[in-house]
Amino acid sequence: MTDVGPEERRRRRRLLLLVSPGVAWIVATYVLPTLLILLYSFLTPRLGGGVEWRVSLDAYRTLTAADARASLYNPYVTVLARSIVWAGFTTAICFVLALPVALYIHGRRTALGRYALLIAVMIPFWTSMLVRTYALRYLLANTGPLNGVLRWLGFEPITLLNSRIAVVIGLVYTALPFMILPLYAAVARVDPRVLEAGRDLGANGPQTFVRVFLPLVSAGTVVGCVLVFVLSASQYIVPTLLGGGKVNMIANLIELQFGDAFNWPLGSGIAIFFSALTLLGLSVVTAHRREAQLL
Amino acid sequence: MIATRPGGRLAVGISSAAVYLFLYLPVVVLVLFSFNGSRTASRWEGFTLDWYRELADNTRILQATRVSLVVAVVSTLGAVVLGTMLALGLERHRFRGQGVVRQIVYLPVIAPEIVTGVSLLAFFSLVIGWLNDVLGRSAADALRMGLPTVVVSHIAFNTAFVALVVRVSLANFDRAIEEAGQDLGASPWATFWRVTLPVIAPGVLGGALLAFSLSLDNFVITFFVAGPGGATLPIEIFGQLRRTIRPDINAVSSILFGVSTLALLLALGAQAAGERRARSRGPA
Repeated sequence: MTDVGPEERRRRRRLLLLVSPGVAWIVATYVLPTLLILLYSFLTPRLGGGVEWRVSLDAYRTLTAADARASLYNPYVTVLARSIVWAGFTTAICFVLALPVALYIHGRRTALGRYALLIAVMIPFWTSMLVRTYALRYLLANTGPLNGVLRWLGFEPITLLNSRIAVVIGLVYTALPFMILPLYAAVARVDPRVLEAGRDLGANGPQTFVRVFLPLVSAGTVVGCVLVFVLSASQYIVPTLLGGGKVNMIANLIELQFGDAFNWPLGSGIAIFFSALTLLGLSVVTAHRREAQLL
Repeated sequence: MIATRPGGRLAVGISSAAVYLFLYLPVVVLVLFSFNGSRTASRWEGFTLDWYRELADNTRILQATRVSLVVAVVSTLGAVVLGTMLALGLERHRFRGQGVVRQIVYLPVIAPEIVTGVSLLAFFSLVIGWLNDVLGRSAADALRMGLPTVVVSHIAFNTAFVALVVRVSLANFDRAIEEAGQDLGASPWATFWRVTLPVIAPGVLGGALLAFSLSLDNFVITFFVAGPGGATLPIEIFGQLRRTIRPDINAVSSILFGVSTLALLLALGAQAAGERRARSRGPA
């Protein structure tokens, strides 16, 4: 142990007093409960909720084994795969939609114009996801305003709600701001002279875009994609309100195990798989901290 | 300018306009139809305030609003204290394990809410079960999840957001004035209250407003820890709109959206004021 003076000891005590209450609170509510469900995933379910303190690997067996009765169709794997595929689709669609917005905001001449357009993205970023998803459901409903307008124009009404398409529309709708903000942060830092240099060296427009511009915004793209992917794959509100209970994703599966199915170990196992995915995402985001700062 | 050719610029403009329309159309329609005279959503039958008036008689919504306000105010106050302290520790000191602490503070920002919700459900059930055993409570007067578990959970994620927001205003802060205060004999405690806090106050206020809005809006985590007594406004809205479509749900949703938007705009205003002040005080 190195010898430290009284000044340094006082500094350390002050630091401990400042940091420990907040860290302890987050550890108690985020780290410990996660470790607890990691433990629960290796125990036996108890009827009515909770666990029996008896070790069992059933949760992981259920997750990995194909169910012979259902002709090798494992419903858990199906929902997991569906959530990941849809989150991937959502991420790609969000990128394609967010890039022009980031470019457009960056192209405004006045700081006020840029700021106003950014705030217009931050409002859906910060306001209630439940209210926004409900608003989308209200708009798309069979007897909703969209079909009202269609009928008024003489078209056949369309049934969108409680379908896969409605869920994917909802995932994109809720996740878009999470892609636009980090992407804008990256676009704003691109030095236009580098793009000019690319053109001077003989690259045409698309070549400059793909070979010079996209690599320059790749850090912001990574942050945006991780945020959108994690958010979308774990969505509970969107599949519940727009899928009408027919189109389930991972979160519905977890909720079911902790609710009506009373299989907490299985629910914990699925949740743990998901946390592992998220920790991976966290390490990527903290590696690109500057882009995350806009959030 | 990145899109240089006029054609490219036009395409960027049109697609951006479409994205903004997509982001706002559902909410604008919802707010508009909360004033619709008709009960059916597919027809517009003139302006009315009936649905807002009906809210005053919806006792469940009123009760949930009270719960929401208590949770939001208490969790914001708790988070402002814990989060500001965390920000000061992280920004003012260099120490071993700082990276780990920073990652822990980032956890509530990135953790999927569904995982947080069910793990808190498991955690609180275990702790409350132990407490009931220790206190010898019978089934009738046993402790359950409710308002306290909701407040504890909200303080956790709000602390993280306040810490992140306050760190930004501390980073823009000219440390020379703090050192000047200490050179003039002020204790660290006095320096904080008389020098540091007045300068970072806009950042703290901004963080508080964001925390208030996050708490008011949170659904997924609250859903799992609410118990019988902790049903906040989003929980009640979710329950009611699963049963029937009632126009007064549009009204209460519009109010919730409006309050969060207002809190966000005030938070951004506070931060902008803080940045202006930091710039005018600091050396060029």
